[in-house]
Order: sequence, then structure tokens, then C-alpha cells
Amino acid sequence: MSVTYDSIHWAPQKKVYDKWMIGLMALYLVLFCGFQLVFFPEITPETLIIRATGTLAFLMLHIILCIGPLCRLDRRFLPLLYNRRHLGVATFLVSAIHGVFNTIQFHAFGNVNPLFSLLTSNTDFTSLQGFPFQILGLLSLIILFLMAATSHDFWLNRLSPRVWKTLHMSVYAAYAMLMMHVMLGVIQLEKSPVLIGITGLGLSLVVGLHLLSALAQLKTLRRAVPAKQAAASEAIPKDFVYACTVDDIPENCAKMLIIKNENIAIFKYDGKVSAVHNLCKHQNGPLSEGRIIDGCITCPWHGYQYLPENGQSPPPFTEKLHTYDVHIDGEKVYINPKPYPEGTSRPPAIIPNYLNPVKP
Amino acid sequence: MSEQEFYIGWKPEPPPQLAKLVRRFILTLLIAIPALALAIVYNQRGFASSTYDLGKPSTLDGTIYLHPAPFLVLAATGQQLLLVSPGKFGGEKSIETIEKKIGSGLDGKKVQATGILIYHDGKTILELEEAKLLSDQREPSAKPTPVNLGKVLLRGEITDPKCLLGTMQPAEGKPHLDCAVRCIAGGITPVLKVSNQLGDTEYYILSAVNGQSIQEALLPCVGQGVQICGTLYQHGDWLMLETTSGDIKKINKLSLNQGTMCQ
Repeated sequence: MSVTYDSIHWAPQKKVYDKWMIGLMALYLVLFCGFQLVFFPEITPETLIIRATGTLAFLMLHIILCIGPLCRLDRRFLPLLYNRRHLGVATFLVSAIHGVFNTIQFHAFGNVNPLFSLLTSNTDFTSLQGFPFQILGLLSLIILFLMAATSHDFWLNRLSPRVWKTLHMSVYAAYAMLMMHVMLGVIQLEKSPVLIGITGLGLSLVVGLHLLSALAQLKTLRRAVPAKQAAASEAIPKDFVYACTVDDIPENCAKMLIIKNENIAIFKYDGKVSAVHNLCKHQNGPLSEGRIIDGCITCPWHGYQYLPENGQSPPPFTEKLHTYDVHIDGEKVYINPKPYPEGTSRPPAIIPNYLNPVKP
Repeated sequence: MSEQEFYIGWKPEPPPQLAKLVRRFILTLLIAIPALALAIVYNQRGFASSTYDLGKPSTLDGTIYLHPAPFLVLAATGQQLLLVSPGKFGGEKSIETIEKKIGSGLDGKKVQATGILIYHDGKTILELEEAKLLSDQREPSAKPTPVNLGKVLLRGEITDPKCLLGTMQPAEGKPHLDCAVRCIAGGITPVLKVSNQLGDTEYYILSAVNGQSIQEALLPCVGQGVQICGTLYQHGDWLMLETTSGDIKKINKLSLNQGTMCQ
């Protein structure tokens, strides 16, 4: 969380993340090249670079795509998500080396411009066997470039989280095209069942984790719809609807609720209950999975913070959330799903007979 | 997950329980990465032991012939070297450049040629860089006389011999298709690579019936399985298949290597 746009805000954990990322990338490249020189010493340096960077980029993209669902299934994986953007940029750089070497190797020094050659040398789009797989690689590289170029928070703010998120969801299109690039390219030549198996395993892992995560998400969404209640008594203000009981919300945590298409996070803290919009202004992270830390709602994805009473990030930060009115009647929590403008102060509902939980 | 285990990236340290899981994840990667690298490398089909003497130019005396393909016939051994130019161009490009420079045609003349040797499977190519004219007289006697071996039907893959014999690995199949198209479009003499189930491989220079180039007509079939009917000639060290575009038929690549090399 930063109030200004540093080129990179080097939090200590980012440095650790990047060190491991670079170390593991180097390990793969050294081992891949070493094994190549041992088993196939006749390989040319260009082919060695192309294969080492191509396989590494493909592996990194698989890891990137697995991190999201892993975090949804088990929040203990969240440290892997925190600096995933650096992993994405590194993946683009490795892919770019692969793409540039391929273009030089197969298309440069000829009778036409290399890019023109890449787009026109094979136009057999109607056949799966003859399909121009290199064009698929180029299209994926363009997507990875757009994602890497707009990965900074500057672009996130400029484009808005929704547009930014939509743009970055195109990683799935890039992945699909890269999978076809591999299957219709080098796998067609190599034909090894082991290589086909490894590629299939990677695809199954990505698809499987996403399906499991989608199922878990579906359960969460079902739980987010409040149970139907008998007509509210006259003591309940107009337009308020039943949300949950006070005990349904863990201390210093939240419960997510979907009421009249409003995605709301209701937090319980210090004998009070407040409600804000559930999506973090940074990257639409689920605030209901966050915690109250130092009196602030803290997003589980990147640690963005908001005051529960008014949805505002503490100064000097400027992010603001919609807020909602909350009412407590006995043990029951009611909410008015009509949002107030972002950053509007709303008094929290006070829990009657609140006993401060004993902290360990 | 307890409050103490809630992860905040900008804090100096992650909670111990989370750090433990991340350490396990990294440990898994430390084991998986070497295994994956080994599995990928070990299961490749391998590369031809072809040679491209990059950075080690050779100087050779011989006679240049432009038809049916650009060759240098060595004076010492009579060996026939197919000529290509640097980059993805046929031998004609270097020959034209040298001819302009020395102000004389090279076809049929004795020269001292300098270039990079490319060789594999008993076939040799010279990437021609320079040539000095040793004699301005034409030497038709040095040109090999083609021997007609009859009509044949061959199945194989059309590619460019420069990559195939040394400059690239792999120089066949889908990954190399675009490069082969570029090389053949640039004038490199196309060859048909034919292999049988025993792994024997032969290379056939492809030319049109009138001895002219057939590059343009071949481009849609490059890198794919083809069946070609034509007249086979022994042209010195090389086999040459004269054909027409109508006698070339695309076939499923999977059916290659399943028949005899020649019918």
C-alpha cells in the first residue's frame, strides 16, 4: 500500500519473493541447459535458448494460473499471490526472449521482413495439423506484454480496477493460445508420450484447481444469501433486511452478504458492527475475507486498509468504499442494502451486552 | 486461520504458519524443477549430428555451375558442393554479387571459393562468401553428366538443405516449416527428405522438368508430407528429381516412413 507511485515499492517480503523467483528461474535454466548438453551435445545454442526459455515461460504461466485458485481454496497460499505481478512480468520477459530468438532464427535474414514472414509463411488456418502455431505464440506474447506493461498500480488506477481486471483476465486467452502453440508446434514434432503427458498434466492442474475453486466460491456465494425471516417487527427501520445473527460474524472478521445485488462485508469489532462494499478498491479483493487490524479493515490480497465506520483509507491514503446502515435488534443484524456514496460516515451498530473477547 | 496468521504483504515478516506452508511450496518446486527439466530434455527425439562451420571459413578450388542448381565441383576430388548464400538465400545471390564485383560471369569457370562448410550424411553445402576467378575459360568437362535412373514415386518432406544439413536443429517438421518456406522462397535449392523405417535417409534435389527452379510451386507443400512423382537423375554426388507441380500431392505425414523409400 503506497500513497505515491514508486516504480516498485520494495516491501521486504517482495524482495524475498523476487529472490526466490529469480533463483528458481535460474535453477531451471541451468539444469535444462546442463541436461541438454549432457544428453544432446549437438544442439545449437539458438535452439537451446529457444527451448529453455519456452519451457520455462510455459511452466511459470502454469504456476501463475494455479496461485489464484490455490489461494481461494486455502488462504495460507496468499503470500504467493502478494507479488504475483512480478512473476507475471518475469514470465513476459522470458517469453519475449523465446519469441525474439524464434523470430530471428526462423524468419530473419530472408527475403521479407521477419514479422511479415511470421504472419505469412504459413497460412494453413483450416487444418489442425498444418495450423500456423507461431502466430498463436505471437498473439499470446502481445497479451502478456499488455499485462506486463499495465501491471503497475498507476495503470490500475488509470484504467479502474474493473477494466484492469478484465484486461488481466485475458491471461486465460493467452494460456489457451499457448497451449495450442505447444500442442500444434513442438509436440507435433517430438511426439513423445512423456512430453504430451507433462503438458496434459499441466492443463489438468490448471483446469482442476479452477473448477475446485469455482465450487468453493459457489458455496461461499450460497452462504452469502441471508436466510429468509418472518416479517420484521415494527422496531426494525424501513428498508432494512435481515442479514445474520451477531454470532455469525467472528470477532474482528466479516461476513459476506449478497442482498439485492449488493456485495456487502459486515464487520464485527470492539462491540460494534459496520458494513462496507465487499470489493477492495485496489484489485477488487474480497474484503470479507480480510481482518480488522489496528482498527482498519485489511484486504487479504495486498493489505489495503479502510476504516469500518466510513470506508475511507486512513490518511494520507485516498481509497474509499461505499458504506451501509446497520441495525441490531437483540441478536439479529439487519442491513439497509442501499449504498451510501463512497467514504460516507455511518455510525456503527452497537452490540448490546457486548463482552470483550479475552485475547490469548 | 487465526488473527495471528492473517497475511499482510507489506509487513516485514509473514506469520510463521504461513511461512511454513510457503517454504513447503518452494521445497516442492525445488524437487519438481530438476525432475521436470530432466523429463523434458530426456524425452526429446534428439538432434542430427550435422555440422555448420560457423566462423571457420574454408577456401576451395573448383568450378561453379549454375544449372540445374548452383554447384561448386571441387578440382581436387570432383566432389559436388551445393552453393547457398549467407542468410536464407540461394547460391545465386552470392554468385551475382561476386560477378558484379569482378565484372565477369562465373558459370562454368574455375574459381577459388571461400565460404562456410555445412555437412551431414555425406552431403556438403558451401555458404559462399567470396570467390576469385582462377581462369576466365569455361570448363564444361568438369560438369557431371546426369544419369537417368527412371520414373519414381517418392514420399517425404520438402525442406531446405541448408538448415537440414547443418545450420538448424531441428530442421524439419512444423517448428521449422516457416524457416524452410523463407529459405526456399529466398532461392535455396529445395530437397525432398525421404526416410524409411530403418532410419535410412536420402535427399533429392527438386527441379522442374525443364531444369528450371520449382521453388514457388513448392511453397504450399513445404514442411509437410508429400508424395512426388518424377524422373530421377544421378547428378554427380546428388540425386535429382525432375517433377512438375501437378505431380506433387500432399499426404498425411503419419504415413511417411511406412513404405519403401522409392517405388
